[in-house]
Amino acid sequence: MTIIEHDDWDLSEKGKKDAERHHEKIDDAIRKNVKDVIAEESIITKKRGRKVRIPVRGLKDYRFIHGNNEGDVGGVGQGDGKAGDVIDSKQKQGQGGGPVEKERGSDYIEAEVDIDYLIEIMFQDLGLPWIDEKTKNMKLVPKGWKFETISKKGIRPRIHKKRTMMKAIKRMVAYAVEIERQTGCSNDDANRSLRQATGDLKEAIAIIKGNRLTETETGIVFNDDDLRYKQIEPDIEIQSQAVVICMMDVSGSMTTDKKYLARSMLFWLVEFLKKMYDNVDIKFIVHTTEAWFVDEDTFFHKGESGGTQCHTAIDKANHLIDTEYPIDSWNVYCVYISDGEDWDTKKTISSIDIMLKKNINMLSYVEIKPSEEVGLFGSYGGDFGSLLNDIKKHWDFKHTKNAGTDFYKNEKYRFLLSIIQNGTQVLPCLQHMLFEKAK
Amino acid sequence: MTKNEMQKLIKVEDTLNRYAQEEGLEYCDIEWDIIPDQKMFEIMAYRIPGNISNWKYGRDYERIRTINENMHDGLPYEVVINSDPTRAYLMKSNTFGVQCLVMAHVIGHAAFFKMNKYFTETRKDIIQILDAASKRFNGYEKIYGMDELERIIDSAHALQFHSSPFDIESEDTKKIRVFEMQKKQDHKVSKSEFRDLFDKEKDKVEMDVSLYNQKLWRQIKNQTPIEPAGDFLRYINDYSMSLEDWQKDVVEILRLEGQYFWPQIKTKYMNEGFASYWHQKFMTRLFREHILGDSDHAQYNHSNSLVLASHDTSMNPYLIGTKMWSDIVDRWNKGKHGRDWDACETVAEKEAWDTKENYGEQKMFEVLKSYQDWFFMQDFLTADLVDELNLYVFVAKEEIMSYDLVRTDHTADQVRELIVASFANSSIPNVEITNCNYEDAGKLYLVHQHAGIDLQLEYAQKTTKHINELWGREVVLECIINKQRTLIKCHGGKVQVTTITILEGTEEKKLMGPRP
Repeated sequence: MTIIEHDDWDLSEKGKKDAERHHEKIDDAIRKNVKDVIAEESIITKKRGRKVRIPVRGLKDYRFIHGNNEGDVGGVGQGDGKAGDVIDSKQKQGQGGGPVEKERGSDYIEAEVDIDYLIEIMFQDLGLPWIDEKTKNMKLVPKGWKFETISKKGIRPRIHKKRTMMKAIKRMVAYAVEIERQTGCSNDDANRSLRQATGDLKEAIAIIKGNRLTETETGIVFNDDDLRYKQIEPDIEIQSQAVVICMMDVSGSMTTDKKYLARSMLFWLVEFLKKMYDNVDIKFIVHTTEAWFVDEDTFFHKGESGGTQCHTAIDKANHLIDTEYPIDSWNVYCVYISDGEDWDTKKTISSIDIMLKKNINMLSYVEIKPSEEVGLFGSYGGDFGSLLNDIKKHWDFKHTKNAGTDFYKNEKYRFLLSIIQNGTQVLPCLQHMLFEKAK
Repeated sequence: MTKNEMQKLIKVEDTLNRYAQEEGLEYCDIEWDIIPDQKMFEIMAYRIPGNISNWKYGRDYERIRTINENMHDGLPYEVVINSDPTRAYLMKSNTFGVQCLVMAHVIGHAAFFKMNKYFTETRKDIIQILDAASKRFNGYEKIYGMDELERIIDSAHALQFHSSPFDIESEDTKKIRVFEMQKKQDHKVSKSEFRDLFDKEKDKVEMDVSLYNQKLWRQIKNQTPIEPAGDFLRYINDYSMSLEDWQKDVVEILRLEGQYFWPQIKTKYMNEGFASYWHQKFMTRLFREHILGDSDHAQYNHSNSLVLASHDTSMNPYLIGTKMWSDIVDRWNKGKHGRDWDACETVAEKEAWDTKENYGEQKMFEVLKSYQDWFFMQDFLTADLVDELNLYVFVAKEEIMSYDLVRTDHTADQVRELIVASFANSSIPNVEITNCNYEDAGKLYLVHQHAGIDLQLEYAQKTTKHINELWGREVVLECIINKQRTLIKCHGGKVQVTTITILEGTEEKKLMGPRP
């Protein structure tokens, strides 16, 4: 019937407002599910962007619908092929990937979230514990500019009004006293004469002596000498330096699942440190039967396999501390993640002993034991033994349990132990490590 | 759009209208608005221009925009509102060929709205209703707060598609109807010549007729719902003790919106198929008669192939619908139906079959008038068509390293049966209120009438929660989950699911919702 072209059809504000409301709801859902969210593999495997897309549950439109409740998910599709053809395949993910994976697709919607935002939610008020003031080798951190010194020279916009006023008042008072002393007049007269003489002391005395006082008011008269200016200077904060050494077992016994958990844990630790501390050095060490340094990208993305000599990593870290990060000028934090299978726990324990005696700020050992292996310490990998159990025999620990996860703490040596079984324990474990209140 | 293009578009529109008339399509006049892309996304997200404000629309708005920004592949967008005149929106950035495609497609929808019987009761002023409501709702938000308004809207949204435009009787009129029927029936029996044979009937005759009627009416009056009620929102609005007037207004508006969408949900495949069938026909004719040129043809082809693409893990209503309509036309043109056809088993004979019946288009309009998706699938998705369309069933299988979606070895017949079953009640499960004073405690009792397919449990639980929000007292839903009779109880945000074991030989009916 009619065709009308609209060039200037305004968008109503509704879309924007409702989208914001939706965001609030997503934030809320993320807050509630942050434990599950951070176990998302997609976050750490993606190339580094500051934004990640994560699946969020609970923002569906619920109504009565038909569906299959028997668990086998399926549907109808269309295309060439024959029975038995695989239409689509999804790689299994870390722990608990199964049911989640199954549910996804239909139930999950993806939300784009800033990593910093997730970190804020997770580690509110948390920070590196046991941080010490190191006397040597403090780091100068420029924070911007500040006004600190006052000078007699400067430009008008930077006049320091209060200091200028104070200076003027001081001078006026001193002058008035001087006039009183020389002429014996009243303080009031002295002030009035000063005003009449526009601040000139000699003139003021002459006025009193010559009895020429006509001014009725008193008040401050500024003099060029009174002016004070603010001076800007670079703002520098002096902070203690810290280094965090991340060590990970990448041997054959560390299955994809375990490596994923380890990486997920360290990923969040590193992201957190980067956000919270401007000047934390982070070093990465991986080991099989020997240990070597890697860069961050390799650490998070490459696999390895081979035997297991845990002490090699600790030794490497010890060496690093001795050569590059001496304890008297650095706060040293070490995190080591392994599945606890070690070919030579004795050596490892003696290496750990050396490390602890250096008086480092913290050593945190995280053992990854997917649930099916817990309780089989004896039988599983019997020849190698469990590192965690041997460590527990060697040092005393205070045992706590939080959210189904076991934590052990030795305050004297600042030595922390924890066992994680699945992705949801990553967060409690990190919170256990970063228990100190942030400044 | 240049003046030249605009004139050309008007010419195309005239031509399309002429084609449609020649083919016997009837529809209300269509008003076309060419709008900027962002506005299009907004209307798509809000379903109806000027709709009320809610986070779900905001979510969809962002989703559509993001999809468009990141991977826009030329799939044409259409929005058509079933009002009088029909309103249709064309996206400004569409190429000319695509614009024509959308127009031809929309004419198909408009005809479907006018000619299918499920649309006969649709109100034609939904835009105005929602526009006015949206202003009132803004007021409610200021007075009662966003959370409170959102709670009612979200709950009503969950139930709105259970209100069909054919539910026009109020509970009171229903009672009068039932009373009149019952009265007639009772008195009719009492006049039967065999009345003496039934002692009970004898009493009735002897009783004063008006006294009897009074007794009957009292009984009917106290019984609610008098018949199982499927229109939740209306029933809740009439009988909820907890809803305030403004909340009832919100519920009623969303009910009206639900009624507007109800026929569209029930006929999704038919409707999209019908529109696609005609847009292809009309477009071919426009090219043949040189009203559109070669460059338009390329644009049209690209977009059309996207509209009618097959998807490996879902069904495309545009493709499947249009193929089904073509198949109906073809079969009834060649007489490929009836007993002889069904008995024929040789492929060669089937392929050569042609009785020159030439009834295709008439059959199409017959089906158009009276079908909805469920019956459409039941009657016209043949096993042959399943084969031709390469439709298959897949299941998820757990492998060592991955989850695979694997094609099953179901035969075409079995695939057909599964698809038909999935269309039970044309995608709106039949759930009814049977009692509003269950256990004499004002609890609402609902029953799902199982039609071969379960309610999805998680959704059923969450929806029951929404009903509880509106009803204010406990809500009990009886349904069958995995062949077990299940009660979902919800009160105060807590949901409890219990299964009832059925004893051998127990009559099923006893468990189906106790009546007062």
